[in-house]
Parts: sequence; C-alpha cells; structure tokens
Amino acid sequence: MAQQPWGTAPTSPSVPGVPLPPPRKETVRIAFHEQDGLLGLTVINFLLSLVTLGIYSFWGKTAIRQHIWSSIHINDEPVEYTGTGWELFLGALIVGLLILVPLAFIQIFASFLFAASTSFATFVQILVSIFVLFLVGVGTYRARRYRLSRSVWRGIRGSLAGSPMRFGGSFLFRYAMLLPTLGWAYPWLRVGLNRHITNDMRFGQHPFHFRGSAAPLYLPFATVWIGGVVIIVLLSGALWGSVDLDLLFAGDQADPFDAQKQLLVLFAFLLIGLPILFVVSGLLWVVYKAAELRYFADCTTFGDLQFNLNATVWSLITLTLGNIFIMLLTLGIGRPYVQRRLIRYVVERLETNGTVDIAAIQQSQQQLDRSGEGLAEAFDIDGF
Amino acid sequence: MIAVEKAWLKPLTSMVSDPSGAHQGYYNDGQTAASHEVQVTFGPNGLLFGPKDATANEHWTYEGLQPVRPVPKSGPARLRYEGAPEARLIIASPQFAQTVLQHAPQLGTAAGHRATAKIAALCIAALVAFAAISWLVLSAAPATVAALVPQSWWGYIGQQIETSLVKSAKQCESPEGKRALASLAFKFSDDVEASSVRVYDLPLVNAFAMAGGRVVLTRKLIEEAKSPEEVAGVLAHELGHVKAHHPEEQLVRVFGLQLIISALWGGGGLGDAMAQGGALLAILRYTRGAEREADEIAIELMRKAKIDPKGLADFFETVKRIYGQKSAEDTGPIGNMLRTHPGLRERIAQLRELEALPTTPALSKEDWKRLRKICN
Repeated sequence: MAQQPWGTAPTSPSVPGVPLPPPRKETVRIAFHEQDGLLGLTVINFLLSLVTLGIYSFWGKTAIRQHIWSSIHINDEPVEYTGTGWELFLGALIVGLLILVPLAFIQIFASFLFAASTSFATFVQILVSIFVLFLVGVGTYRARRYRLSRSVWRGIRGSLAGSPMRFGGSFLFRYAMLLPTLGWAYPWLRVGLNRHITNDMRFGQHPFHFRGSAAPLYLPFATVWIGGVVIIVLLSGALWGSVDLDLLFAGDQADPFDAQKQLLVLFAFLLIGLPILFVVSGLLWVVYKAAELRYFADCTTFGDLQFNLNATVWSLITLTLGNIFIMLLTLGIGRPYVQRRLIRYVVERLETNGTVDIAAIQQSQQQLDRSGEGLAEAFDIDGF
Repeated sequence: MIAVEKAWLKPLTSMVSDPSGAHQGYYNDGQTAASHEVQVTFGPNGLLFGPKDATANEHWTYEGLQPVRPVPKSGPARLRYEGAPEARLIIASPQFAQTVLQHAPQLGTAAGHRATAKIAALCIAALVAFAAISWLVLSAAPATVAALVPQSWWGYIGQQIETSLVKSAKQCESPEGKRALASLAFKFSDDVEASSVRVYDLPLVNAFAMAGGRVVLTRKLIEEAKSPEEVAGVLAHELGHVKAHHPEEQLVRVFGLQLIISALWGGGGLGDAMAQGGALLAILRYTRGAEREADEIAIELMRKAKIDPKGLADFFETVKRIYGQKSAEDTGPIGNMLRTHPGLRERIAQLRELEALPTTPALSKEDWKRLRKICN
C-alpha cells in the first residue's frame, strides 16, 4: 500500500513531528456463539473420509475448525481459521516420507535382521522411542505454531516465535525425568513447557507472558499422588485379605469347592475393585487438572490484560464424562462435538481483566509455514 | 473513466438493492488490529470503499473477492481480497450480502459445496492413481530390488527368519538321515541348489522356503509321508520357490508396502486399517500365483530327475486327510500351510492329469528308512 489512509499505528508515526494519538485502550470480551451446521459437517466428513480412505479427512478437519473457530467472538468479532486442507495433507505427507518411512524402515529392518538377537533389537527400539519422544515435543510446538498462525482476528494472526527443536529438547528432557522421580516431575514439566510456549506466543507482534513456578501445583499434585498410592494399597490389601491365592493355585490338591469359592471372590473383587480404582484415580486427576488450568490462566498476561479461568472440579467432570460418552456412543465419529465442547468450555469460563490498546497491535512478521501439523498428526498428539 | 463508461451494465441491481448507494461496514487493513468504519458502494467492476465522509480510495474487484466464511443471504458478509490477503471487509446489511452475491457468486454457500465436491473427487482420483501405481510397483519392482540386494544379505536374513520360525525346535540330524536327505536334494541340483535343507522337530505337516535358498521340512511331514516320492514332491516344490526367488521378492513386496502405508496412513485409524487390508489382499494374490509357479517348477524338476510327479499329488492327499476336507476347497478357512495357497483340489487335479512317463524310485528302500529316522 502506497499510503496509509486508515491512520498509521501509533508506534510508527508516518509524519515526523506529528504527535502520536493517545492510546485507545479497550477491554476484551470473549464469548462463544454456537452455530448450526456441525451435524451436517460431521456426517459429510465421515462419509467422504470413508470413501477416500481417509485422504479427505484433512479437508474435513479444516472445515470443522473453520466452523468452531468462527463461533468464538472477541469483542463481537468472530475469530477466523485460515488454514487449508491442502496444508494439512502436505504436512502429513512430508512427515510420512521424511520420518515415518525411515522409522518403519529401521523397525522392520531391525526385526528382520536381528530376530535372534533380542537385546540389540531392544536397544534399537529404545533409541527409536527416545527419538519419537523428541519428535512428539517438536510436533506439539509445530502444531501450536501452525494453528496460531492460521487463527486470525481483525486481520491479525497469531504466532510462536521460538524454535521447535529447542522445545523438543526441553520436552524430551522433562518427560525423561518422570520415571526416575516416580512421577513427581510432572508439575515441573507441565509448568516448564507451558511457560516456554506461552512466552513464545504472540498475537500480531504483541507477546503473551507467563509468570509462575511449579511450586503452587505441588499441593494438588501431592494429593493426587498420595491418594493414588493409598487407594492402590487399600485395594491390594483387601484382595490379599479376602482371596487365599495359595488355595486358588493349589491345583489338584485343593478342595475344588473351596477353590471355586475363592475364584468367585476374585471375580467379585475385580468387578468392584477395578471400577473403584478407575473412578477414584480419575477424580483425583480432575482435581489436579482443574488446579492446573486455573493456575496457568492466572500466570498468563497479554500486556495489561490478565486472565482468569473458572475451571471447577465438577464442571471438568461433566465435560470429560460427556466427551467420553459422545466418543463411545458415536464410535469416534462425533469427535467434532467433543472439540466444540472443549473450546466452548475454555471460552465460556475465561474472564479477562484490564485493557489493551488493540488498535496498536501490528501484524505478525513471522513467515507462514507452508504445511501444517504432520508430526502432531502422526503421533496423534491431540484431537484437533 | 472506464468505470463510468461501463456503469450502465448493472444499473438495475444497484438501483433495487442499493438505493442509497452506500453501505456501512468495518475494514481491517491487515497491518494493525484497528477496526476502521467504512462506506462501501458497488462499482461496475468491484467494490469501492473508503473512510466515512471521504472519497473511496480502495477498489476490490468482484472476481478477486473471497469469503472468510460462505456469505449467507441474510448477511453479514466477511470478505477477503486476493490482492490484499490479510485485509478484511465486514458489512452487516442483508441488502449488501444479496447484491454482492449477485456480483460475486463465488462467495455463496453453493460455491462452497461445489468446492467440497471437487476436493472429494480429487481425493478419489488420487487414490485410484495411487492404487494403480502401487499395483505396477508391486508387479515389477520386487524382482529388480531383490536382485540388487547382495546374496550374502539374503543369506543372513534367511538365517534370521529360519531362527525365528523354528524357535526352540530341535534340528533333526541323524547322520544317516541327513545323508539320505542330501541324496534326494542332489537329484535336483542340476537345476537348483538350496543353500541348506534341514528338518526340524516340529509337530505340523509343513515345509518352507526362505530367503537365501534355505529349505525347512518338519518332522511330522516326513512321518506322515507314505513314500519318498511325497517328500521329493514337497522338496521340489520348495526348490521351485528357491529357483524363482519367491521368498526374496515377497520380503521386498511386504517391506515396500509397509513403507508406503506407513508414509500415507501413519496416523493410524480407519484409513490405515483399510489400506492394510488392501495390502494383505494384494500380497495373498501374489502368494497364490507363486504357489502355482512353484508347482510347475516342481513338476519340471521331478520330470528331469525321473521321479514320479504324482508324489506331490499324493502328498496333497495326505494333507487333505490330516487337515480335513476343507483344505481342498478353493475358498473358506484353510489349514495352516494352505491359507495362502490355491485350493488343494485344483492342485491335485492338475498333477493327476500329467502323462505317465518312465520313473525311478526317489530313494532306495534303505535310504527311505534312514530318512524317516532322521529325528531319532
């Protein structure tokens, strides 16, 4: 554009000596306006994906995102998804050729060549797993970057300013710490990775910031961890006390009636005990996740804008159970509804405090990726 | 000036839906997140717009307009422009939406549906083309690739496969039995030489040819065979595979297909499962072809060695007796060995039709006794 008829951004005066206009700070309202048409999209996507052996799914996914993104309104203007199915297809193809084929090659080759030498095959397998963990990190970052760069509001797009490789390294290192710390590294790794991504995040050229440490998450995490251990100990204690395993495995020497009775007790135990274990550990996990969601929002700022996410334990339980129910009932075909519920949950429960000079936010200068999300797709990183 | 001359082209639509000549809207210039109020009018070739109470300074041609989302007749219209891909123009009024849809039908929902149909058709075309190319590659490439891999590699791979196939089963190697087996294999050695022929203590009636020219027979096969001609027939069949390099080609084929599928459907899911199924069907087709070819080579080998080819038919009868009538059918679940093979009835019939020629016993009575005791 030769001239700037619309008024230049305050940070770049076009005429020297002319004073900058005063900043016009605005509050930010974010809302979700549900739209019709998701059912039709879901059905058509499923049918077309079926007849094209899944190739159409990239375009279908894009249509779903366009639909869901445009339901998010910020200050009454919808968000826009500008990605294309072709970009997703290309991303999947590139990853397939550059990463999945060599990985498959190594694994098939190793299994042919070293069928007899299991220790070497295991070694190769471990190396491949470490590499895959690194790639999952890289893929997570690249997928986030792609989606941000295709999310546009008032013509301005988002971005991630850092290097996917560095994030992949951090991801690998932090996840590798899980095993030696018996899981206690989890809040540390979550906060570290979230800090990394949030601090790299931009809307236009305006950065997000994350200020916070893992410390406040350790109380909820300890509840989950200790609670989990207690329930496992209690259940195995109950199993030990009620079932005479010696009798069960005594074989011919045992009184067959007694052995049958013991088997019945064991079955009853599995029927009642395992569901208890799932429900209780699931509940504990939601307690932690709710705390984490709230904390991440609290730690995030965008200029003077602060965030607050009203993630309660009960609302997360109904969200999760509803999503599981939808996925089971529709055999996964209803995934777009799950995606919409997830986005809607965050949007409706997100509050902002403070003001931002929105008009002053300038367009991102980061180059656009030509393809998207191949890695995240390949390793099934998330459901979007 | 050209604009003025062509203004008569669409006077009616402009008059009816656009009496005031200007619509209020918002414009994002794609450089900042500021929202500018604008007035938009319909020009002869495109939209003209500019700041309120000022002259229009932007011109977006109708052909270059793109919808952010398909424009509903009731509005609002959110527009992009190919000449300024990051700028946005938003006009709420239904009158504007209806008029702009007349000028630029590509903005409407019908155009969106057509685009979806076109993409789906392209996907199917790509799939068909891909299947055709795969078919060609599957037919031609394995032989070429298999020939490129050094023989020593095949030897090593075959050895690994034999190890994983027989697992902990003991190799049968009574010296006299081995000698009898070697003398049988020697009868075919003018045409094809196996790198090893071994018997393993396995309780199933089966025989295998592996990469690198390795042949494995099972103890139960030797026990169940009624004559040395039956064993000779089986051996000739496996040597047929060796001669035609079937095991090597099959490995290349399976390996290549796995690579292609993991490249295209690595994400798993339904597409992956369907592609795997397709690949399995393709491979089975080739194995049945290979079995027929191995039968033909076996007949040829036995003719040259003056062994009665009906021995192979007798062996198939033995298999039929052990694994039941079902193994003889062309379809249906078939015994372990024959799952990948043509129907036994067809194979037996083919062998029985052969013309009788003078033959000699495959093994002497003494050698046959020794071979049967190879596992003792």
